Amino acid sequence: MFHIEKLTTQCGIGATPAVEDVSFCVLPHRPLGVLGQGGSGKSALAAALAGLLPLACGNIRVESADSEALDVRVLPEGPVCWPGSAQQLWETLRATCVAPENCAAWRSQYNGPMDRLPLDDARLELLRMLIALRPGLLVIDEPTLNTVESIRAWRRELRVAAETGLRLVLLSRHEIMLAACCEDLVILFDGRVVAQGAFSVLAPGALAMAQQRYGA
Amino acid sequence: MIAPLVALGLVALLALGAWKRTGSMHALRAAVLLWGSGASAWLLATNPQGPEWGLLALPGVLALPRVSLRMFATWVVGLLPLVLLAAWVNGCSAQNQGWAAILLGGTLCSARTHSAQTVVVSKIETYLRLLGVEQHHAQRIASSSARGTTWTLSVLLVLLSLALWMWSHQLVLASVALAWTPAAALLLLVRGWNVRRSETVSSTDPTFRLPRQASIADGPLAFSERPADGSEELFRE
Repeated sequence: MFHIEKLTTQCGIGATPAVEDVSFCVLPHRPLGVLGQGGSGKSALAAALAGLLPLACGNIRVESADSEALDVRVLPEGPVCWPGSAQQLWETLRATCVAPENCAAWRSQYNGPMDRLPLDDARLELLRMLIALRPGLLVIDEPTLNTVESIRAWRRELRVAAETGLRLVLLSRHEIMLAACCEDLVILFDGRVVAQGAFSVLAPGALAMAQQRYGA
Repeated sequence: MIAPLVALGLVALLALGAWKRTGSMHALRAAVLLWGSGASAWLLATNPQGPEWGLLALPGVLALPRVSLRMFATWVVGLLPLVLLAAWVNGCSAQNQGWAAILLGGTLCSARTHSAQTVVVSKIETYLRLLGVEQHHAQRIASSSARGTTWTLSVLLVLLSLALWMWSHQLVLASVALAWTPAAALLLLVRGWNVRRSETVSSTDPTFRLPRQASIADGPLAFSERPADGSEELFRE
């Protein structure tokens, strides 16, 4: 289990921290969705989990003896910011892996061009790379807001990853997207958690909508 | 000759004072920029045969990598034509006008691309660090990857300056041809950038719409009270 306890960042707008007193835990096999509108602190939370945003207080705790359990990776929002080839990116990411022997064979599953990342689904390919690295926690900032087909593709990848026990956190401003992929939900507002629990309890409507749009 | 320089110096001193008081680097950069560009324009206009006076703009050029795009645009659009106009009115030779254009345009654009490079490097570095790459690796990769792009841009912009110079020598066709090369390349670059942006920014799914601005003053959640028609308000209004 991955515990985030009373996480509060140092910086934010004015005196208010971007993330304040945020607590939740991430379980294997149960992807967690963090829902919030723009400016609610989702990306700041991701940066804090990755260790890029200094914390005023709080704690990240893992109930595991494995060193790789503390490895947190974030798939940032926006287009892929990598000018090199797909192979170079994979090698770079693999070199940072705590336990490279545990990496799945991303290369053998990849059929796209190696000289550059394909423009249309570069982020999805990057997601596959990150899943193959088997990090302790994988945070995905705004999975996709593209076509229904792309959301289905993302959901397939995330479900397979979750079934293997990978701890996943998805940050989005769209509850239907989260409902399509997540079991649990945390709602952020102004950097604070205003509700959390199972998706089926907190947002049954969103769950039904996701099933209707993207299938069971 | 002294009075305008003194006046410029006074304004620059005022900006320096503002910097000292507020600690804002923008004020300092504005002071240096003002001094460099103002002195350059005035000296170029009053010394028709001395385009090398344009070198006095260098302090301003050095300040440019840290100024905003809007400030840079103001400089180029507003001041550069004024400098050239002043030189032309004062009988500066066509050759000297061309050299002045190369000097000012080329160095300014290089400075601006340096600024753009700083932004690009920072963006790639943050991206890689979020992905889990260590800081020193991320810095190395980001700076080496951004270098090629900005060098290309610098070369293109210097070519553009060269085209300006040829134009001033009445080499109209050659200058137009030369100017089109970087212009077309820049257009392609911008187009590529826009395509990359639109990849994730645009939503082609008509069923998606972003949640409305939230107001949770009267209760945080609307999920349990979601209307049966499937409307998607994130929070109760």
